Amino acid sequence: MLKFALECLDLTDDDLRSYPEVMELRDAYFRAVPEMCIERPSLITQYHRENRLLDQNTISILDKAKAYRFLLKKRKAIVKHYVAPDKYDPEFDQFEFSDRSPFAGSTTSKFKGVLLYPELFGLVMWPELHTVSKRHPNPFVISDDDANKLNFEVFPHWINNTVWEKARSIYYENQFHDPVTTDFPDQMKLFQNMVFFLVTKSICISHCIPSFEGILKFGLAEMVNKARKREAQETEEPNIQFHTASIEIMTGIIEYSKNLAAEASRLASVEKSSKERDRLKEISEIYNRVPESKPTTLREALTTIWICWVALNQESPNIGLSLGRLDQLLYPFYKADVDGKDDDYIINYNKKAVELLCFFWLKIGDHVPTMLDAGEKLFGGTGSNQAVTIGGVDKNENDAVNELTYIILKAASLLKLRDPNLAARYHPEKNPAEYIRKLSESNIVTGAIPAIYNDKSVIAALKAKGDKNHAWDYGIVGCVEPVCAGRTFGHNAAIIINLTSALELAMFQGKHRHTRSSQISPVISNPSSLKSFDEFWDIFKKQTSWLIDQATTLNDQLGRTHQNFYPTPILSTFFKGPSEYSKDVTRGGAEINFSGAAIIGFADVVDSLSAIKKWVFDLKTVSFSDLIKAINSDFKGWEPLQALLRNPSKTPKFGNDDDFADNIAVDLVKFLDQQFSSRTSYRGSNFRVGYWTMTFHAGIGSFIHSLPNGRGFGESFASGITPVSKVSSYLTKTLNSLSKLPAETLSSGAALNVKLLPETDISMMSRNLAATIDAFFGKNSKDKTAGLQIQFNVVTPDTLKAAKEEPAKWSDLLVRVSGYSAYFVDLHEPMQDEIIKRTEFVVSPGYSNV
Amino acid sequence: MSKSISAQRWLVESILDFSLEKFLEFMAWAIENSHEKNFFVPRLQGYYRNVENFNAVFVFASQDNSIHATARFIDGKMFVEPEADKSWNVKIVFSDVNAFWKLMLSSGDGIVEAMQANETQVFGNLNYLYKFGFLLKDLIFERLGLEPFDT
Repeated sequence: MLKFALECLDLTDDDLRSYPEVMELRDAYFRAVPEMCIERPSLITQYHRENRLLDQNTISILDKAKAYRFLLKKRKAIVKHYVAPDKYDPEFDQFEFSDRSPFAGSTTSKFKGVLLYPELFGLVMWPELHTVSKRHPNPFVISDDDANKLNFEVFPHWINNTVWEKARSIYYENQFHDPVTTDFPDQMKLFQNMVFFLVTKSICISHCIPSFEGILKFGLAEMVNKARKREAQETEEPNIQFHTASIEIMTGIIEYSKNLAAEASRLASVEKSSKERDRLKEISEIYNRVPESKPTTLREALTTIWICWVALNQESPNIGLSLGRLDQLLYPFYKADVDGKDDDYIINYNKKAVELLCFFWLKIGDHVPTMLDAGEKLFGGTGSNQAVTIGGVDKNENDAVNELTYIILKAASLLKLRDPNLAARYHPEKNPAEYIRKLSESNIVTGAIPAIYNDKSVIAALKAKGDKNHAWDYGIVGCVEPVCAGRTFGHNAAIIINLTSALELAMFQGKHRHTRSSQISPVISNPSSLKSFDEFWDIFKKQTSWLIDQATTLNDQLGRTHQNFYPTPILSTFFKGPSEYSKDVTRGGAEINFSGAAIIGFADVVDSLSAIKKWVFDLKTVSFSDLIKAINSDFKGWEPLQALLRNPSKTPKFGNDDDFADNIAVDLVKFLDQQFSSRTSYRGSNFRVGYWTMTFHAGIGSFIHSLPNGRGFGESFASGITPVSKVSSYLTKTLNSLSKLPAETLSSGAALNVKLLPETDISMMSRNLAATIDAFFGKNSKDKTAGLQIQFNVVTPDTLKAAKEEPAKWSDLLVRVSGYSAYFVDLHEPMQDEIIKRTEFVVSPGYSNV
Repeated sequence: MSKSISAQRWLVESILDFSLEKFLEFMAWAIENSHEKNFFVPRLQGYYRNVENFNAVFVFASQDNSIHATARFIDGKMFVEPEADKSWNVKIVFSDVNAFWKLMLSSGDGIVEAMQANETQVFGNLNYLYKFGFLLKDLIFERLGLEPFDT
């Protein structure tokens, strides 16, 4: 049957014109300007005020659950959208479209909405309320009335009650006195400088994969019964409260679903078209049935997940909240739908399943993250990074690729959307050759999706970290972070460290050129007085360790603030562990716990250390003081030195299969892994390290001074774990360097960006690309080292330059940034330039674009 | 302040002579004179609503000591003092006077960008500064109709 599915799901055989209703909705999606939605902030504020929650010293999980039930119940039931602001109209006047989605409900009250969370990050939009509609790029539409409501009725109530402010007032300065004088800036000040690290708990706590197994198996009514039994068994008040809270949440979701069913029924009663009336009646029947009862069909299963997804999005900003292994979760429903049917039925069914998945995809992408103007310059163009995982192996490490794997791949290839972010697991020895060929073909056809993960390496990495029983069931979170789906609360994006700052503190005795004269960290030694690279390496490690201490301290303080003021009953309801332990995920209720850190500037630091080692300490042809003078002057007057430092044939570089630099890279990933593993977080678990940078490597790079690897002031850092651009023109050399990094040290994921020149013969390119991936992933190799992950941009530089010149013509040009996909024209200029400048590799031997 | 001087002119003057105090005084005047229709700036009406029930102390300072002022909001009124008070809800320290104007008159949020550029340090409750950012932009761009400096 799988072979049959492959035959009728060829990625190149048809396009969206075969699905006209999907095509119309997709066109509307690209035409619509996002609108700021005040529904959630208004209702949440109303509940908190009426129940005086903001006057309390802590907010219990039950109070939060009641607030969310109030929100779910009171939300406007939107079965379909009719209008959206038109980005092609100078005043963003609304355009009309036909919404034929089988999925009712939306995360906001808008067709394409911006969810606001005043408890967390929403107040940063306060200064922009009058200007955000006019900003460029990426405006958000908001009416004067809505802006006034936020200004007068919502934001003032949170001015002393955001997670950041609560943490600040508890752990740092009290109001009405001068800040406490310390030897070094406190962790919040370091964060505010934005060159050292970012800690994301002030913004979100959603970076994980909820579990949908329970709801798909039992339905909410049965889950409520189970929660009532657990509630009755408990004797401790906090434990009882946990289950009562969970019941409140599930009841609220059922109420929301019933409201949608009633609205669909009302719309059907006044609908003149019989076809549309039938469609609305069907929606009403399904939403009356699920998620209260367990689903029995693929459509009901998707509806169940969608309604819960809407609820989850009401709790915490969607930054990397991910859906897990959809092809595995949904396969029993697909099987039930087609079992015993003939070939003609299945061909038709598969086509409808593709359409259903397309509509589901469009729903998942119905919101964009809150983004302030300055944020656009650092992480502009990002979506919500909701990953969906397909493929890989099953519990017995056998091939788990099924018909739905291909149906999802086909839907994603047809739509070419940035959200959801499709991640394909691939086991080079267990999954079929046709599968990797299809993944390659999809990358060529779409130019960017899916990212591909090596099951051998990822499973080994997770097992090495202790996830022995469920590593096989990993899914991807956000950009590239692997976790055991529904079991791991990893918050992989908790900390983002700019590693070049550690290098800076080592070179400048605890100071950073960006913060000028401020003494940031302890003075250890003057590098000019050192005799060996080992001594410098030791200083660098100490400064890195100090920086990690600061970031993890702030992460813990914000985490504790979440526990006391922002418990997460919705997420905890859809997770494995909390209901067994009667404990919220923010208090360690999940089966598996850790916190994650991502590293920015990895390759630039490796190459800088390599340059320092070779020229300053090994050959002693460049003095440390001259090197400092050169980078302080941005190499003006030192051009020959810069050329030497940039030259990969003279100065060893990571990514050029040169052991001199690659050994430094190996030492560095081992050191960072050891450092983070040895720290314990507020949830009693350790930290894991990942190498993905979103657009930070370009945004932060744009204001960072020159580095010893020859990188000039303001140039982008290399993305993720990708080597610096142009260090090698041979893809094999780059992949060899990456293969040397032990997978267990990259346990929170790594994004390797590879830009490929498109070839005219797609079939040949697919075969050669599949062979390249097999070699990188160590197919049939007993060698322990193999690549972890790879993702592609298959695009010519001319196309990218044309899109930069005329963005209106290229609004759906999809590119890989660092982990996630984005629309090229939405990215800020430094990020666009970074992608344009990436090394272009050729896959097929002898092929050239010249 | 005399109502015979146009608000726009006063604003431009304060910008030209880089007087923070004058700028804050203008803001206080705008609040005081927004309860009823203002002949010179009709759109000013209702501006006072932004600070109803708002009580907070903002201190402005600079590393080169060229800026020092306190803005005190008490029960719907704004009071400006020429020196930096030692008690505050939020204290904003600018690297120099240019950083102050850049923050005040940029089109976007400005605040986060200024911190990132190391031009501004903020002590205390950041949310008060976001509120102040709205007060400024509401006055300058929405009610006076000036164009942001960076557009």
